[in-house]
Amino acid sequence: MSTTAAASVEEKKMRPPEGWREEVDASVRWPVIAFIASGTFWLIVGSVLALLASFKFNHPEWLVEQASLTFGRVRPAHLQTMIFGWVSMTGFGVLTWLWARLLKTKMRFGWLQLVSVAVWNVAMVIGTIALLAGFSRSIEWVEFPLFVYIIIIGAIAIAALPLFEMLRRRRVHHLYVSIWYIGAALLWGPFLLITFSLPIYEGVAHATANWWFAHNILGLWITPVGLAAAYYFIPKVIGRPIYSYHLSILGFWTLALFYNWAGLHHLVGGPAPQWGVTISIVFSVMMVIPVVVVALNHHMTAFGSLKAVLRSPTLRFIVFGAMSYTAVSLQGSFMSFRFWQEITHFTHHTVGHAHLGVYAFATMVLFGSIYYIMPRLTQWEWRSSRLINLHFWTTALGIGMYVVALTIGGILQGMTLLDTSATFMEAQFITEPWLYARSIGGTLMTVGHLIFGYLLYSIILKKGPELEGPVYFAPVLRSGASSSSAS
Amino acid sequence: MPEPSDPLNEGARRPPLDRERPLEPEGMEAPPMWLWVTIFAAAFFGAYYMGAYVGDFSADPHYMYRDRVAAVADEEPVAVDGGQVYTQRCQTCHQADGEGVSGVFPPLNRAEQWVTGPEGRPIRILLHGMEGEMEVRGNIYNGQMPGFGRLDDEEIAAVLTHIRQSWDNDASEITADQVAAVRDAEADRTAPWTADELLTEERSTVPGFDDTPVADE
Ligand code: HEC
Repeated sequence: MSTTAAASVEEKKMRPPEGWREEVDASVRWPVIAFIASGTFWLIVGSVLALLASFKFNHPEWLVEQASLTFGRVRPAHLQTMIFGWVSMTGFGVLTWLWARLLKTKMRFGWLQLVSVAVWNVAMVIGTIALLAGFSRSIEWVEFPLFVYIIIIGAIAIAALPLFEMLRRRRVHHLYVSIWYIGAALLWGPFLLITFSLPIYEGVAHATANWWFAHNILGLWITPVGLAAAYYFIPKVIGRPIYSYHLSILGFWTLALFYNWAGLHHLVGGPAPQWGVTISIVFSVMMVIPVVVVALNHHMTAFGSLKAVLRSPTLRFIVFGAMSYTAVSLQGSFMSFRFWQEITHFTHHTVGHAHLGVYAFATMVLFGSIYYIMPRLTQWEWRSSRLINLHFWTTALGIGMYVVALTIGGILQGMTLLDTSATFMEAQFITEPWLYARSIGGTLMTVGHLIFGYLLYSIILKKGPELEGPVYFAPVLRSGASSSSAS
Repeated sequence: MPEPSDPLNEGARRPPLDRERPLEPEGMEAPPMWLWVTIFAAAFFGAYYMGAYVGDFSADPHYMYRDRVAAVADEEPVAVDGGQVYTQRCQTCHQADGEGVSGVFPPLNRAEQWVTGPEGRPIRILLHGMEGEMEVRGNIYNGQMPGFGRLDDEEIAAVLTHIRQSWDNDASEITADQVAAVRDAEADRTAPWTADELLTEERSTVPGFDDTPVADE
């Protein structure tokens, strides 16, 4: 038998059958819905905690009677529910769907993922209650008690098993760039959690490992999933291929090489050795490369399809997220410099930056993805384009206000702190108006989250009118000349 | 002009799964020249920055700032600002205008027996606090003044000098040495003072500084 014949047999086996999308989507339906719904639950819990924390800046004497509602407990609870509840769980749902679609194979052992969701949620409940009850590890980004992370690592492992099984049974030759990002995140995420959970760090080494971990959870766990979604949905919805495969490769490998080094810039001015900090600054600057590459690749793909971006909810959210990714990354490279941190370190400026990353980028991309995924999984349309529109504007304006306010307020705060003739309190008072703006922005976002929660509830339970055709921000044109030519 | 094909409108009114078009394989465009320039510029900058700030791979976190650390160590200690201590520690009770709160916190302004009286009294009040009935400007107060013994001698001297010379007050300066002398002499004292105690001659003076206490009343 000739090798070409063997190859073509192989190819035949690889080719997915007609109607594979129905089959594939049906196989991941409940696990993906469970992940997304759980994540959204934690999004709303996290929003309430966030508002509590934010209002306390405006009225420090508000809700101080119960220890569990004091800032020192509410704030880490907000961070942990958002990162390990909302972004990670919803992210897992989105990545599972992308994985299935891109490998064109159905998921077996889907029940493992359902078990994972249950276990993960239990861990989140325990962790959140523990934080509010005062059992915090007081290590930023890893405040939950240690055993909670061990449960979460287990949950991720269980949920990843069916995914690796799917990789084995894939019905495609070429692995699309989103698959690389997701596959890498599935290895990097648990690796980070496991490595930092080891009881082997002390003192400065602990602080160093801490920021290595915290920065990489953002860069090597959350970011790859966001980029994978953007890489999939932009070309998919616009109907044009990604601009350049070469750029995809370049962007992926430079991210993989550089990101890991950047975390130590959080210790500028701290007791860590200078050379370590210097290396992290160098790689923070080198991050410009993957960021510009990805931005170029996405931009060139979406370029000229402004109409689609305005009309499609998915695209609107995702393009907003992709643009924020560019912004937050370039800002981050700049913020790593020592001269700039002299002003901004230990101010609200950094908090603004963090939200530009986790919210304006990651969260908005997740919203966009869900607007595409859910109608496919439930065979039901979103109930109202008005509400989606409202969701977009509340969250977009909310995060916009939030970031602008803290970016400016933080710089003013930092400059006042440096001014030896000003008292410490003066540096606090100068942030007052900006912290009010932050609370208003946060309230807007929370309103958006409630709207989103309602939409999600409606589509899962198939509430609302039975609509025909997609829900866009502008009415769908009756099948005219343009649509009859295609498909 | 209508777009050549509008994917968003394809299969409109059909269920979600039927209105998708396949994801197209990636394009093969070559990275543009300016991108390579950017990449090499970033790499060059990285190499330069590393060389300039690598600090000899020393484990000393102050390696690059040794001059500055040394300079700070050599500096004359900055004089403590009494006004600042006052705003931070006293103002909540005695108010910015030094008039106190009627019936609760006595005024410091024109409190002749106490603030601008013999140095030993205000020093003792600050070191250990004060409680029980006392008279200030014709009114009786009966509250608790916390002790500030944890402040250092300079800070206590500075804030006392500040209140003795602010508003309508105009009395002599109090020095850190005087505070130190009282702190030393009253080392065994922990309880707050009472008015009666402070009005005695012994508790009005600063040992070794002032042998001729000002006559009161
Ligand atoms: C918690 C409120 C409080 C604070 C803070 C406080 N004081 Fe007082 N102070 C009092 C009270 C009450 C009395 C009267 C004590 C009594 O009735 O025996 C008093 C009495 C005094 C007196 C003697 C009475 C007078 O009016 O002259 C002086 C002097 C004084 N305080 C100085 C200070 C200085 C200086 C500070 C800051 C370092 C300060 N106090 C901070 C509450 C306070």
